[in-house]
Amino acid sequence: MKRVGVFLCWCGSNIAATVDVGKVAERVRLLPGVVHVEENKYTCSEPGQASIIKAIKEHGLERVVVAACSPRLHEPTFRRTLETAGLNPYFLEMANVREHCSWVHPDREKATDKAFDLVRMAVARVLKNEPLARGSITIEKRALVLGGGIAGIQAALDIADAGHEVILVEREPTIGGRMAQLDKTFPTLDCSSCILTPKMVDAAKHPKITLYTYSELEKVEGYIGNFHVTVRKRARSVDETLCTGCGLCQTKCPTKVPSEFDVGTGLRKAIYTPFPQAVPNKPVIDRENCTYYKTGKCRVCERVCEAKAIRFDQEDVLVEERVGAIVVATGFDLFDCSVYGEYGYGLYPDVIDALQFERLINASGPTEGKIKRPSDHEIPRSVAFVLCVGSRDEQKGVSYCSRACCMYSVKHATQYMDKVKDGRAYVFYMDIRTPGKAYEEFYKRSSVEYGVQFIRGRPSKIYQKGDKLIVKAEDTLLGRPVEAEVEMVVLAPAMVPKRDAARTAQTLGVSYDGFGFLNEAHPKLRPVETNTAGIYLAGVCQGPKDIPDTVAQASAAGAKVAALFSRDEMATEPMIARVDEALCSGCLWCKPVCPYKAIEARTVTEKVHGRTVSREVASVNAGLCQGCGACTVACRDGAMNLQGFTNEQVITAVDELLAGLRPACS
Amino acid sequence: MPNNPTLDKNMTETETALRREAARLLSQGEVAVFLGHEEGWDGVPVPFAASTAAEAGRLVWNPLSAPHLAKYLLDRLEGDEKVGIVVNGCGSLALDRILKDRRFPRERLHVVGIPCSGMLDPARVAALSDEERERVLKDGPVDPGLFLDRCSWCDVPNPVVSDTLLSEPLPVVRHRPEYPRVAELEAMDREERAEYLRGLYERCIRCFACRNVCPACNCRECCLDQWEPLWLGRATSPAEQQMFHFIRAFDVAGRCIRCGECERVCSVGLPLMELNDKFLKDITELFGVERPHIPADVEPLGCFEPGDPDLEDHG
Repeated sequence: MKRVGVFLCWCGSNIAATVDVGKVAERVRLLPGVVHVEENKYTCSEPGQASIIKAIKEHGLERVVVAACSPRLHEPTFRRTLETAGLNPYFLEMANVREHCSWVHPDREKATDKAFDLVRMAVARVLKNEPLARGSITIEKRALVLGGGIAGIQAALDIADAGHEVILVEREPTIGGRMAQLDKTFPTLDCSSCILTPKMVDAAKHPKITLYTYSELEKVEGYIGNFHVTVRKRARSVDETLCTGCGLCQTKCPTKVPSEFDVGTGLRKAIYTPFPQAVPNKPVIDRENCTYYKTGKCRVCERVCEAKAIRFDQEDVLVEERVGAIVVATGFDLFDCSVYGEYGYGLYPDVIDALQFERLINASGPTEGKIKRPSDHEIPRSVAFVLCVGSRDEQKGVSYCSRACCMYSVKHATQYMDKVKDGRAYVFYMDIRTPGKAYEEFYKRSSVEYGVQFIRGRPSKIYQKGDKLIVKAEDTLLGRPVEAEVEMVVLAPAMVPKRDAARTAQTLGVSYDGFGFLNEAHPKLRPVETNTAGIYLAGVCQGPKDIPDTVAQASAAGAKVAALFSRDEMATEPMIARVDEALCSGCLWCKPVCPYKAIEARTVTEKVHGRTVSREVASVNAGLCQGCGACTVACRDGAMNLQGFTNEQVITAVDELLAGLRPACS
Repeated sequence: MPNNPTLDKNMTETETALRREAARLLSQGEVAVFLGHEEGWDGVPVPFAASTAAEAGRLVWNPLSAPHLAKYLLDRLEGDEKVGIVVNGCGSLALDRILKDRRFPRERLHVVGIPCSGMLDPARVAALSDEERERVLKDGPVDPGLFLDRCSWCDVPNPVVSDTLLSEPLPVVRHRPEYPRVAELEAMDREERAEYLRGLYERCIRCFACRNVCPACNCRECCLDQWEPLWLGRATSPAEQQMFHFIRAFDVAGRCIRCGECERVCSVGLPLMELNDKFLKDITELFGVERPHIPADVEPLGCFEPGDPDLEDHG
């Protein structure tokens, strides 16, 4: 029998407080195959790892079990330790006695028993481990960045500055994203456009960046280092190479529709650029609203275009690109405030949301920066700002905090007070959260210097009375009901995932949470990676955050991509599916279940009773296979096996657990 | 379940036509062997492989020709000679199962199809008195309870796979399958159900007849026969018996054609289709597949769809 060493980690008090590690050690010592048992306060620490290396050498260990935290955290760490000691790194098994035991069980005695069971199973399993070898794949040093908001722009610039080609794909006709819609940014109040537009231009002008606007990701195939992506370039109905961006077509176009960029507070034409600083500054025709597409008549834009750039018959183009890494920066939508019927959003014209307010105070917005309320274009003498519309509300909205709304609402109130000197601004809040550099000071200034009034309480009802709006709430600090008569209400909606976030995730093959935010690989230690190798996250698509955090994450994703591209080849995990061709009956039901399209049919020739016969069997592409194990479950023959996670290993572990329960005769 | 099975009045003519067609195929060398039924020792047809025109004369087609034949193709995987086979509606589903599982090449088959309006359950007929049995087999009328269970809801009277049809196709009335036997199983709470299944499978003697007859059980080497890893302990114990049936039910889930042959051949009369029916019903309810027992090119449980929702607790 192989010589097994077992290393029991205390994880400080994380494990040792609940599990009697000494007692587990005593019992583990008696298991067949175990020749060395050792306890460590922190096995993952440098001395902890050194003691494993020492024990491997001193006791001639051939297999190692580490009973500690989740293998998601430290399996790679200990594999490296084994490798350093000269053992095959896959002769390691981890028993998760922290997340699966000490953290979730209060009873010390029972937890200790369970910890022993987990270690016992790992010991049985490790005896079945086979040596595995890593392969290597080449890396295509080009990146795809999905989404051209500030996150996507920053990531694209960082990767391009590192010397790699970037393909930046943006769904809208221009890059810029949400940040382009904002007026000023907290807490410094610098103008959003002034800091964003130069970056937009940088991205467009960068020799290493290819920009696809008005384009969408259609399909992703392949794997880290070798993705094949298909991008649909939607028909702009304008020849970009000819268009000079003079804007005459937009002036002459007879059709006006509410502008998405202005969130309905202003109008745009059917042929339009979303805003004057758009990049590229080339218009698109909105075919749903264009008179020509609807009635077959008009073509005014075509007539006035001196560059002859209008192309009514333009069609979508599918572009295929090979990239080695993908950064997802697809951004967010806002929670639909009309879910709160009692706030009257959509019913009372002067109840608007925060993004609409951004457009109202923006100098390039529909009111040229004058705060005019939508109903009568009068300057409101008082405004109520309502926080947490959707956020932190499990009943009607989402459970999480959207993180930026406190600060931008404070900013809105400050800006309002700055522009309307005799105005009154009320902020209705649950808590004011200011966890950022200079955020608290900004919040303080808003009340001390600008006289914004903060009322702790969520409004229960907003209704119209004459040309005023009445906000009813309970002031929970005073413990009594309050009523504010205001002339405009600004709601701060929760940030929610893009409506098609789940579809994006499925196209990319990355996981997402119950809300639709994309999952990072580890909440603390791998915050920009996804669980799909080679795909990284930046910005709100991963979870609500403000601009500084978004930019930081985007640069982090860029750094990850640059690190990946610093090598020509990378090692691949050997824990992938393998076919036992003798068992495989060639039904290929494994093929449609494979999310990575890693399975193909292969013809094998074999001698049967002296005759040579050929038959089809499944075959796994080692580059594509991610080791998810879907095929091993689908395979009724038991021919498909996951290396390092084989049927034999799993059954042995289960048998070990059930050993006491089996009838004596088996 | 609005199907009223009847016995085909022209079975004798069909039988003659079957013998003639099989003899022709064999004598002209179109097939090397023809899979059909011959009369068994107790008068119930048993599977039979005719390899000469003369042997084709022993083929029978009568109200008791219930056993499906497709599974016997697996004995003929080696070689490249063509095989003839006779199927009725449900028999063609069994054949299609084998074909969709890519276990036998279609080009090596010559399928003789017989539209079928109903088959009797040999066991139920055997329980009748001698006179009654003779009367039923001769000219009816037949108590609907004597038919195979699958005939009571069958809406595939005509073979879905065939090269030649021996009679005119029958009119088809499609209906949504119902699963009345699942109701009781679903009404039980977890403990009750565990207790019920434990008691049920305790009676199993593991003769493996269910597996052997099942057209969806067509692996090269059954996992239940494998030693390394040992999927199923060899000891006779209630737990192993239960595992045996669970493994089998899960292995055929999504591919079961609801023929009920497992239940028909069970030596201890276990209601094996209850669990299979439960899975079929679940597939309809969860994946919206109207007739989940009809073999499909992509099985609802055998594919990855980008639309498959990620489980909420993944986050």
